[in-house]
Amino acid sequence: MTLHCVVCIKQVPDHEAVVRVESEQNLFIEDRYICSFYDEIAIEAALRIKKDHPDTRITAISAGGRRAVEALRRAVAMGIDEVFHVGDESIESAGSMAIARVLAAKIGPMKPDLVMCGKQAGDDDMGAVGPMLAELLGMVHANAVLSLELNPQNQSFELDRKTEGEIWRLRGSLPLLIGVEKGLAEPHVPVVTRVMKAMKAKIENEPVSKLGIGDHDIESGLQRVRYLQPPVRGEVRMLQAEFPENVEELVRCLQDNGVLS
Amino acid sequence: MDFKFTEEQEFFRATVKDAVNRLIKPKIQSIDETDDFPMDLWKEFASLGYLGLRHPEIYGGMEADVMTSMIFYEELARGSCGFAMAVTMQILMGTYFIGRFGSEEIKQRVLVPAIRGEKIGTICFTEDQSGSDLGGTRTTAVEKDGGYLINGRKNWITNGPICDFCTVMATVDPAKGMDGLSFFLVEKGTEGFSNGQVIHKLGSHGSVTGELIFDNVWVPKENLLGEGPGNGIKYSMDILNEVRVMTALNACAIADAAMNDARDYALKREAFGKTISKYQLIRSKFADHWAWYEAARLMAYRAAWMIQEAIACQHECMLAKMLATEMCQSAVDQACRIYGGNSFAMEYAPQRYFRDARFLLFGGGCHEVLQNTLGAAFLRKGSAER
Repeated sequence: MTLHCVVCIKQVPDHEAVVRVESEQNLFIEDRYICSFYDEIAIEAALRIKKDHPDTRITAISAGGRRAVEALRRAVAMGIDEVFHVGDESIESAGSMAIARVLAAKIGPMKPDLVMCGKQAGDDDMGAVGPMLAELLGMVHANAVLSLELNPQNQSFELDRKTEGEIWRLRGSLPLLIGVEKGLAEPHVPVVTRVMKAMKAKIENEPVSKLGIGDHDIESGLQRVRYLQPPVRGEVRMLQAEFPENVEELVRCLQDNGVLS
Repeated sequence: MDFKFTEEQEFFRATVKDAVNRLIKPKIQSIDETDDFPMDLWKEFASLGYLGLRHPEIYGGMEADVMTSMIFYEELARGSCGFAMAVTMQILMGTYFIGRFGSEEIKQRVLVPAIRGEKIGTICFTEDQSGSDLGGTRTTAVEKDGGYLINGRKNWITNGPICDFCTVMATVDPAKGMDGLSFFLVEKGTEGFSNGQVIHKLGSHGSVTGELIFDNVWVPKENLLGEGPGNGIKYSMDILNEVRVMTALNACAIADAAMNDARDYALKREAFGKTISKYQLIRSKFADHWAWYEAARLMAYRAAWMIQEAIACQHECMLAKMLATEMCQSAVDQACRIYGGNSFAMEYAPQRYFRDARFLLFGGGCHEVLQNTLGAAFLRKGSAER
């Protein structure tokens, strides 16, 4: 029984890239981008499924501007042969719903058994596209998935998902859309033959208009009002004296700062 | 003119950087402290296939072009300098002549396992009395019993103490100087081939360096690498251009890493009520470095492009190597000054950059020799113009 697994990926600023609020309307982002952390885990998890079930077909999709191609090259380098780039720069700032609609328009006709997304993106941390996409595709959805077992024969799954302080075991029938959590898989370092293949890969773009998506579909229901600088952490003072003198010093310090009277 | 890397080259750089960040960087400190060859890391890195960077796909290589290789060498040196030296020796110098001139049987026996990282190779130029002066090579190869009898000692051999095979430069006729030089393949286990002393180096830890001894080592005729004896110097010029540009980009990487660390430090370290990044004398160090670094890196990549386009560039490669490695000396020194007293503590990185940078001064020709050649070439150029 062939499984079709679709992985949705996104290019986000590198962890080391400088990001700062320049003004209420402008965010400076250094031009260093990587495939989102959780999305790489999704790629690796899909490759593991293929290892366990060799008939599996894996497709990677990224929606966005030119940078999306880099994420897809990463997917090729890691071992995925079928990749699609949909949309253009115009949908980059259109919001989660627009991205979900574009992805749904591309993925829907494929009728996949499993769709995998990162549980949240490495830049805006919205964690919204996955659940929205599941709704648009009419799929069962589970987020923060730690482990996944598939049974292609009877089209069923069991998974563990992480919540605050507990783990839930869920069972159900495919098709399924999951948001992957750290721990589901450990992304490998690509071998150079795949890297060269990724470098040479011709990744065609499919414009949004070809997917039957109109301007009204990519209008965002949310408006970004302004960027604010997060509060700067206050001054830290280490009390150097030994116990019990440091207790006296602490009390004095709290009194000086008006915390204790 | 176009100074941009292609999208594909940028992707390759990002991929190598990721591999270096994940596999090598976590081990930098321990490699530097122990100075042991990191065999586990070697195997892990070899399994990715990078050791076949320049070799044909039929032997397990990736046939990368010169520019792609240079991007690799630059990113690799951002990790451990010593490990980068061991890897680049294997990719470039240690296997180059075997890949170019070795018989099919030799390639299958030596090159294929080398690309897989199962055999470690090296090249032997330097002797106690000759390094940049290749014409002074004293190791001899004399025709005997349908092969060659090699005698001599080679020193300062990167990967030497752990090598499974080496390409040895020896003279078939000492009277001919440079024109008597040839390359020979010698494999571990050959009678008379042994290790001498290991050199404990100031920096570039993790790349083991030492002496190799050839005491009546007989090799068959097919181990002569290249057409006929006496062509060694011509062949070595083919590889030295690449070695020099590679060294230049190694130097750029170390300089960049040192000054990036220094920037992070300067932005946090406070003195007299403000971070030291706000003082003009600290800022001037970054400004001077930036200008010098950009110039050196541009020159190195231009030389790489000339090699790729088969444009004669012996002098450009020398200039790139000289400029970049001198820039690197300055960068690591300035980084140490920005760190102040902390640069003298082993727990901080600048002292390692400082020690590693020194290693780059000598490979590919020491600067005093390069300056002599370049100065003479510059004067000749002036005469021709007049």
